[in-house]
Amino acid sequence: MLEPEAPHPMSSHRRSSISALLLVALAVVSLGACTSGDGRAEATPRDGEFRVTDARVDYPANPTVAAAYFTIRNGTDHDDELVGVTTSVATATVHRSLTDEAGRATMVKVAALGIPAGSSVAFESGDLHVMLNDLSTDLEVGDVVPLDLRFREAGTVHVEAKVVEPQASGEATEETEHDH
Amino acid sequence: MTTERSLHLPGDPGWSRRRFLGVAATGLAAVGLGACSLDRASTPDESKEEAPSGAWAGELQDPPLERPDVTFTDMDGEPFPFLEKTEGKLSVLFFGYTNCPDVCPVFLTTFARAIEAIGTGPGSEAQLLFVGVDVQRDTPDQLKTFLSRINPTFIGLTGSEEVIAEANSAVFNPPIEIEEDTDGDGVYLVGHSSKVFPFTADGVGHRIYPSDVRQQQLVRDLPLLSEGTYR
Repeated sequence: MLEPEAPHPMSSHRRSSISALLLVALAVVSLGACTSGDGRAEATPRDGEFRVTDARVDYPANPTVAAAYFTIRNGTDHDDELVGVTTSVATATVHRSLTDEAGRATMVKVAALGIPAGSSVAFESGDLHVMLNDLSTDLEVGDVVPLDLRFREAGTVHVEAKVVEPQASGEATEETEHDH
Repeated sequence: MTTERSLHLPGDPGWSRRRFLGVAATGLAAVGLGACSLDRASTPDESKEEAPSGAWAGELQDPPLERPDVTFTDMDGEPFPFLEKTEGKLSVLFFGYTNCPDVCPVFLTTFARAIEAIGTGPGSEAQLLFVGVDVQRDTPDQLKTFLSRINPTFIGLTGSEEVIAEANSAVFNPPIEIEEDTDGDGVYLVGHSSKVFPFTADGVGHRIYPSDVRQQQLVRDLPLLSEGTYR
């Protein structure tokens, strides 16, 4: 797994957010990572590009509730923050799945998600995801869900998330690992 | 929209991201024997090997776990006496809710794929039983829709809050936490056990699995559990 790049100048707010993020990542790692992704920023080349890739929506078991996943790659020299996601077909909220102190599977809303310069953050099953509520259409595999991701610096990035067969735990991980 | 009110810090409306992360880290550390560490045991070096190499996932229970002695309601609205219905069968109990977008469908999909991969023979008969803990929304019809889209052989169970709470505590799960629907839009989150309970033909649970167990691990372990091996 790639290590985050050396620290870059950033505001104290960002720094503490990232520290907190790393703290969580470390806590997860110390217990054994559940999946390859624990929502932490990984290094990505500084090619000047800010991109959202690999957007997908898993075919939902509940016709009105789904989850969207994607990877945000910040190849610029500026830290950024995901501050919201909207779509025309549902209400969208950024959530992180986690196990609370009592051992409950739960989710918390993520109001703003730091995407440090030169890093990528992957949304993955069991971790960061966009919860789509009150879906207005019954999604089928192959459909496309339009998503607008709002970033503090990069502005709005439009992506089309394809509805795919849901993946079993382990499958997605291997696919991701092969990318490295 | 969902509120930002914490599930585990009720009465604390000022739930900021930073505090959530801090609490999360503490919580994760406090979990200690967290399910993930057990899953980890099968992939100690995060190797890319698909098949676990002979290591069990799931925490060994000694003494083994008793099955909950409750009567649920099934997807046809009929009584489902759990002890009687699961007698002598490999029965895998999981608690979740049908508006769960991530953890529940991912586990159920993983389990369905594992059963498909096992195909025939020992382990293929493992019966998944999904308890919908969100009694307001997890109606028999809703359970049927939800599960049939993953695997129509899965059994959905519901019941009164009391029945579900009794079953939940019988397997030593933490209490279920249902977020208040403060704005009345029907969108609210539910905190439920992150564990999976396979009960074997001898009527007890010898291992408890994390819900993020990998498909290949289930493909390895379910046939063994089916044959009465758990160590």
